[in-house]
Amino acid sequence: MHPRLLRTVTVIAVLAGPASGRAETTADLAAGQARPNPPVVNAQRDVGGQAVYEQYCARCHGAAGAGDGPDAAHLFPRPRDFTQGFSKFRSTASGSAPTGEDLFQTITRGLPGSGMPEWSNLSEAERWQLVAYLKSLAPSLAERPPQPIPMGTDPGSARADLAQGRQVYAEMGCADCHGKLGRGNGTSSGGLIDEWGQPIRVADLTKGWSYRGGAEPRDIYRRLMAGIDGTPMPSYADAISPEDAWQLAYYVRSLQEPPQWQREVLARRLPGALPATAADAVWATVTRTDIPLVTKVYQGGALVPASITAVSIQAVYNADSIVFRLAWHDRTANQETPPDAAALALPPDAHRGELPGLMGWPTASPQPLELCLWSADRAGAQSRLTTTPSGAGSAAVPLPGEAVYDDGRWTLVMRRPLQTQQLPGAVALTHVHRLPIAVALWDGGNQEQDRKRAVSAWLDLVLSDTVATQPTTPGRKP
Amino acid sequence: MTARMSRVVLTAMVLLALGCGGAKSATATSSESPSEARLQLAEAPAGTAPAAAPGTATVTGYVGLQGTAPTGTKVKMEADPVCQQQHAGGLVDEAVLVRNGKLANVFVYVKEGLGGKSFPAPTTPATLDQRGCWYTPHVIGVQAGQPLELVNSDATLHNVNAKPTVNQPFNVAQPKQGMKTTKSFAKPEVMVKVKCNVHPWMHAYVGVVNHPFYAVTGEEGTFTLAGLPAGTYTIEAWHETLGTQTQSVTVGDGETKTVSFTFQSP
Repeated sequence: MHPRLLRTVTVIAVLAGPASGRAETTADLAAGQARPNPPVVNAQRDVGGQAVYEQYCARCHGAAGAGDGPDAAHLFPRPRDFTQGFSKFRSTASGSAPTGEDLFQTITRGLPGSGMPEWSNLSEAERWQLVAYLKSLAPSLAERPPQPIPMGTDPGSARADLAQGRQVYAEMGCADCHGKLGRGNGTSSGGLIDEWGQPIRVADLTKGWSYRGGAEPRDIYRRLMAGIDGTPMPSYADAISPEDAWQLAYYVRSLQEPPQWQREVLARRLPGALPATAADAVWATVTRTDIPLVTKVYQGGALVPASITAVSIQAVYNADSIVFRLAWHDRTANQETPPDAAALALPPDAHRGELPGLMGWPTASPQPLELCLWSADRAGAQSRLTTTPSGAGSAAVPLPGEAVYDDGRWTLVMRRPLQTQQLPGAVALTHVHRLPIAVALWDGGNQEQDRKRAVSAWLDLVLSDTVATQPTTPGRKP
Repeated sequence: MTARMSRVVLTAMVLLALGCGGAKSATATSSESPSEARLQLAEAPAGTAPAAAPGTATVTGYVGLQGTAPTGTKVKMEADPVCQQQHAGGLVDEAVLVRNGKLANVFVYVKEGLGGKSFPAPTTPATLDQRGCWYTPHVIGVQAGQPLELVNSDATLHNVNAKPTVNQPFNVAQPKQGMKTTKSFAKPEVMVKVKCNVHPWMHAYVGVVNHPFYAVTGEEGTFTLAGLPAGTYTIEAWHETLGTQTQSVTVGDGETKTVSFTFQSP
């Protein structure tokens, strides 16, 4: 693996932080439970806070808080520059300072979908010391004291009126950026830049797990009324009543599609014909596996993140063939150069031992992989044994199927014979229970091609009922 | 109607509508003279510091451009049909708007020379309109603390994202036609950029000063700073792409002095 990529993986692993405590924290918030009063600390420059900051925060946020720590260049979104006085996740009016509680919550809960982990493992006293220290880094905040937004009354799930919420979503122009179905593909969603001159992507509202400021109605309500300062997301406090904002918040929550994170793709055996289309009714009966994708890509030493963050995979098979169905969100359908594209990777038949991670593949002396490749500029998908991401120059077997683009989502169906003589060396699925598979996706709209793409880890394709006996399991990297 | 013309007409309409608002342009043919308008502005609301005695000196002039103005860029507004419908012939963004060698959209103001004199902020709001997915006027002046009314005249979502460095920033949504939001800037700042993220071609500039002696040049490139106390002043002319120029002028009671600026085309 490339040394830089290895380092990046390490950073991700470290930033992933402790997983425990989130459920409890979220539950506390949902219950509106009051936090203990903050301990009295010196708001000017708390020495304890500075020490905690230097130990835990400076590597990303920089020694002086300018968002320029040694790890900053490896993160997207970039770490916050505290010195400019913008605070994104507030319960206060646009442009006014966050409350100490706002900062405390961000530290405690982290920012899902970004590199900012939760820090609930720090003591509450340490977190409050950090709050005081962060305030001291942006003196301008003191000149615009927090102006709390009206919180109205949470109607609760039982009294949430989703039809009204949907109407408010339309009236408020949410779809202009977030898209009609919330997939982050509105007409104004392209080319957005934040206050720091960095590219910024519109939130995909179907992915509740990546809402930076939290996915509960209370969190969404705050983002609506306070806006997200430093980003294109404005405050709706002057445009919407608290009652409507709550209905909208519940509607936005209803757009979230709970992810089915799994490490296995359970292929279902069908007795008869296999589905040929993405819309076939049988797919509703097949287990779906959602996979988060690694989007870190470096070009010339700079981080140029890929844009597709997750993919859903389903599979069905019979005695002859297996059909894969991949679905993912992409802001625009791109047939032009570079086109949107997808690859499902399988190890070749002869493969034994470790598999290279797709993130680093192909390496200098690459092992061949079988790629089931689809590209939006060509009719039909093909399978190839290849040592390049595009499969150029290798023999190809056509894979029947279709690709459908609908309002920010691609759905791709590809049928591969269980075994084929047309592709010498390809694995025969007639004899296997488990086989490693991985996915790579290219967003042409983000200028992705070749090695610039989002990739999954290797996961297991499980054929619950093998077609023949004597299963073998080619090696896989754990 | 050409796009340029439509902009000009819109500008004139708004300037007329503004009346005593911040943008005082020589093209606005209000029955009130600019100085009268300013006297009205200077009426202090109860409880504020007394206004400095209005003067009788005037600084006037024009802003010219030497060389050929760069051609404007065509605005791509296909993304929002509401915007496109209002510009059947297309819209050209002319950052450097020149007519007969005279430069429009230049903010001209007294930068130095007023000493510690205080000029209470008018309570009459200045108006920044979003109309046809364009800010009207493109450049506007206000006094620090003066209400700035943001109006959405379009049947589409706009957000007004103000990016000051000295003042408090804000970013507010205006999803409905006819919506008004009133904001103000507490401190002098030349200039505050305002933009719309929904329509990335939309941007405007707000000049915030702590006195009423400012103007924005219109199509004729002229400006008038009237009602000044006698004194020696540094006058600055600011343009969004051409930069700033300053000149010093001494003017006595009842006098009118002419000061003109010439920017060089890039």
